[in-house]
This record gives sequence, C-alpha cells and structure tokens, in this order.
Amino acid sequence: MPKKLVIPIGPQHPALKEPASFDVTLQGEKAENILVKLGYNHRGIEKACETKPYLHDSYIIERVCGICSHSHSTCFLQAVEEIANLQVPMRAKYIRSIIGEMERIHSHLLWLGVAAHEIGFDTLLMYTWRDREIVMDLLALLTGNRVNYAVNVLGGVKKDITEEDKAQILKAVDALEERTKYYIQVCQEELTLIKRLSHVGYLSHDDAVKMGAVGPTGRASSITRDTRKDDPYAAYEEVDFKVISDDHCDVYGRALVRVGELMETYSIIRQLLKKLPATPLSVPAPRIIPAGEALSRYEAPRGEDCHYVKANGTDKPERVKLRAPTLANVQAVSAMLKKGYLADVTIVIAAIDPCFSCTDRMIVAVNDGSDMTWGQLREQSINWYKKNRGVDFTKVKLKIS
Amino acid sequence: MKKLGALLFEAIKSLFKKPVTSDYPKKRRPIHDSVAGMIAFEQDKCIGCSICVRNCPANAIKITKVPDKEKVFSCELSLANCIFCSQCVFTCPKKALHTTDKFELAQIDKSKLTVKLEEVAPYKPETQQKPDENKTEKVNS
Repeated sequence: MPKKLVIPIGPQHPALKEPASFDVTLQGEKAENILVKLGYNHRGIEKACETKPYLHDSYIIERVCGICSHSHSTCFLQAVEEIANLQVPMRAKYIRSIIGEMERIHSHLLWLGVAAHEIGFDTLLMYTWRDREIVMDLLALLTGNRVNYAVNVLGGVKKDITEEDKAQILKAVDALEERTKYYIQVCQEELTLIKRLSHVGYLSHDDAVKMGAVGPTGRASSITRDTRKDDPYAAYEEVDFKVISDDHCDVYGRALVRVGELMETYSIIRQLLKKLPATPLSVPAPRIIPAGEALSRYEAPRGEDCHYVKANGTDKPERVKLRAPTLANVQAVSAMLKKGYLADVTIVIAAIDPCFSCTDRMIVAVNDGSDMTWGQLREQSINWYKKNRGVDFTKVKLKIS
Repeated sequence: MKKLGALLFEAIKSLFKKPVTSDYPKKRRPIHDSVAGMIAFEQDKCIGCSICVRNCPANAIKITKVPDKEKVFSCELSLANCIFCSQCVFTCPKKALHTTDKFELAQIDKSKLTVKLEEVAPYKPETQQKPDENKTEKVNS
C-alpha cells in the first residue's frame, strides 16, 4: 500500500486568488480526502456594522466583496427597508436590477477567464477580460465607479439612467451578446475545453442538495433554484426569464450554466430598460430605524446571498449577519474532489467561483489539537476580564453543559 | 461539431487588430463626465449645515467657518480617506458639492492629501466639461 501524502494548497498559493487552505490527502495521484480551512480573510465587517449608522453600513457592506459589491449592498438595504417599512420607488428597483444584472455579466465573464486560465487556456482569458471592459465602462458611465458603485441609498438609488445612457447600454449589450454567442460556440465546440472540464469535479444532484449548493454550482447539478424566480425582489417580478440549469454535474456544466445565464441577463436588461417607469429615484429615509428584524435574499452572481439585520430602535443595527454564496458552496468542494486527480484541484476550486473575503465571517481557532471545553473557555474569559478590565465574573453562575 | 482549435480563426484575426490597451499616461482613454472623481465645492452656496460631514462614511470631509467673514464656510477634504461614493453630493441640500472627473490624485507627500476644496477645486460650470484636455495635449507633445 503506497504511503499517503498530505499536500497543503494555500493559504498562499499561486492558483488561489485569495487566502484559503485546502489540505489534500493523496493516495497515489488521486485525492482521497480534502480538508477546507477558512478564516484567513476575516475583517470584522459584521461587528463594524454594529458600531456605525445604517447609512454608513451600506458602504461597509459594499466592501464585503469587490465583484458582487452591489449584491451585498442591495441585499442589506432590502432588509433595512423591510424593517423601516420603506416603499422603494419602482424606478429605483429597476435601476438596482439593471446594475445587478450588469454585475452578473462582469462576474461571469471574469469567471470564464479565470477558469480558462486555471486550465492553461490563456487565449480565452484575454478575450473574455477584454470584452468584460465593455460592461465595466458601462458601469463607470452609469454609476461613476468601476467596482464599488455606491449607487444604492436607503430608500432608493442615487444615480438615474437617462435616455442617452439607455442607447449606450443597448449598444453595449448588443456587442456583448454577440461575443457571448461566440463563447457559447467555443464552449460547445472546442475539444480541449470539453475534454479538460468534462467529468472533473463531479457533484451529483443528490450531493448538491445535501451539501446545499447554490447558484451556478447548484444549477449545474440540475437544481433549478434561483432567488430571482423563487422569491422575486427588486424588479424581477416584472421580467420574463428562464432559469438555466444543466445536468452535466461537472465543471463543464458549470461553465455552460454561466454562459447560458449571460444570454438571459441581456434579455433581462433589455426588458427592464423598455419598461423603466418614470417615478422618483428615492424616498426620504429616516436615520432611526424602528425595532425589528428581517432576512433578505438576493441572487448574487455566485449564488444566493442572505443578510439578516436586527434593529433595536436606534440609528445603528444590533446585529448584522451575512451568508455569502461561497459559504454554501465551499462544503461541496470536498465532495467534488473525492477520487479526483491532484491536477484538478485548482480548477474544481475555481469552478465554484469562490470569494473568501465574502465568506470569512468568523475566526476559526487553529490550535494544536487540544480542543477547549466550554468550562475551559469560560475560565479563560474570566481570567482575561480580571487581568485586562479588572472585573471579576467568578461569582456569576452559569450552567455549562 | 466538436473540433480542435475553435479559437484559431479568432486568434489569427486578432493579430491584425489594434491593441485594446492604451499607452497610459501618454495616451488617455476618454473618460465619462459621470466618473465620481474629486469633489468640487461651490463656496457661495454652502450654508454650513454639515449634513455632508455627518453622512460621510469615511470621515473625509470637514466644514469650518471662515474667520472674520459672515456666513462663509471652508470645506476641507482628505483625499486619503475619501472613498468617492458621492454621498455628500447626493445629500447636500443646496447642491454646493459636485463630482468632477479628476481621478489622478496620488501624492508622495501625505500632507498634500488634505486639501481645501475652495482653493483646489472651486466649482466652475463652464470649465467642468473637459478639464483634462489641455493636460493630455501637454503630455503628448
């Protein structure tokens, strides 16, 4: 029996765009087990939100992720607006959806390039990223920024879409559609791409359901679930679109779902622009939000994004909780890599389109194997408070099981 | 039809195309008027209500009263802190703040990052259209 070998991929690794750690146990060339370790990108965003007013929070939340910044800020503001019972004007909802769809275009094109790069197909990377500039320019035109758009405010949006902008958007969407048709053709015809991606990172439908895979990762395992369809938010109730799914269950399926979704996105943008209603852009929002709680869902480019907000009747939230799509998908990576080759690890990780800065919401104590019990943890906290704050908590009685 | 080299024709075509990247800073791509760059300030309109200061998520803006002058206010912006979200422009009740397309704001000297906007970027509607045009020509020549 050959000796088992554990290969650490990360926290710093050329194939990873952000720090995360994957310990791959090998049996020969094949991966037998994979241990995912997160927590290298923790920035304390949730806690920071509790110390700032709601208006400032929307900008902090926007910086959770560079690629799906609009998704996070819209998702957060939807929750706050629900608590405050604010009626967001229809035009603002339409503009939020249009910017959200443009974000999906740039995210999917970026993914296609990254995936092509991971399999050594850099020509495709150059072409997709070149075409991504069209939509980045469009975002700069509409919002003033290329990445953190800052278009949302509590109760609506800041920037309007004029008739001139509309013409430019439609022109750019036509150009992008033509390019995407070409990429679909490439995905369906190019033999190297098909051979490299097929049967890699296989995630069966049952496993995908069990692991809670969301977004394109889940849809490529024929889970026809899309928050835009299941629980329509913003202006998605008013548009007609298909939920793209695929039954390949592998990385190739995930690529097909993403390029297919791009085509739907163009149709959504056209429909939204055609129907854009003439209402004000925003309603005045109060600084103090009444007590209450809300959970908001949003279909980010990578999958379903959930934000929970609890308000306590002040101008600051009591609790903000984020569940980014990567956290739902990263569990499935270990299932995808079982019995797979070591050389497939990077493309399989890249195929879920991971964003670890979105995901890392807590610190994982990586210790030397000596796990602490609740009793020991309490003892440590009592000592810490005694030493650093001069407070003695020993008399406080707690039932610790 | 599955085949090898589906990108080959496209790759050969690209050989005869101009490069997409531009020779920055010698040549500059045209930028949109809507780019959220440095803030411009209209001193005559400011009433010193400080809503911009309260709403700024990055604590980048400061409004102070000009000494010895009645109802004249000075606006100080920290470019190191500013996140260019244009929240101040959106909430200003008198529309005294505006976005400009100035985006090349890096400085070697840290102290130069804090600027008095009425001196550095007073708002002039007629010159706001193409402020970078002269600069571009100079660099090219």
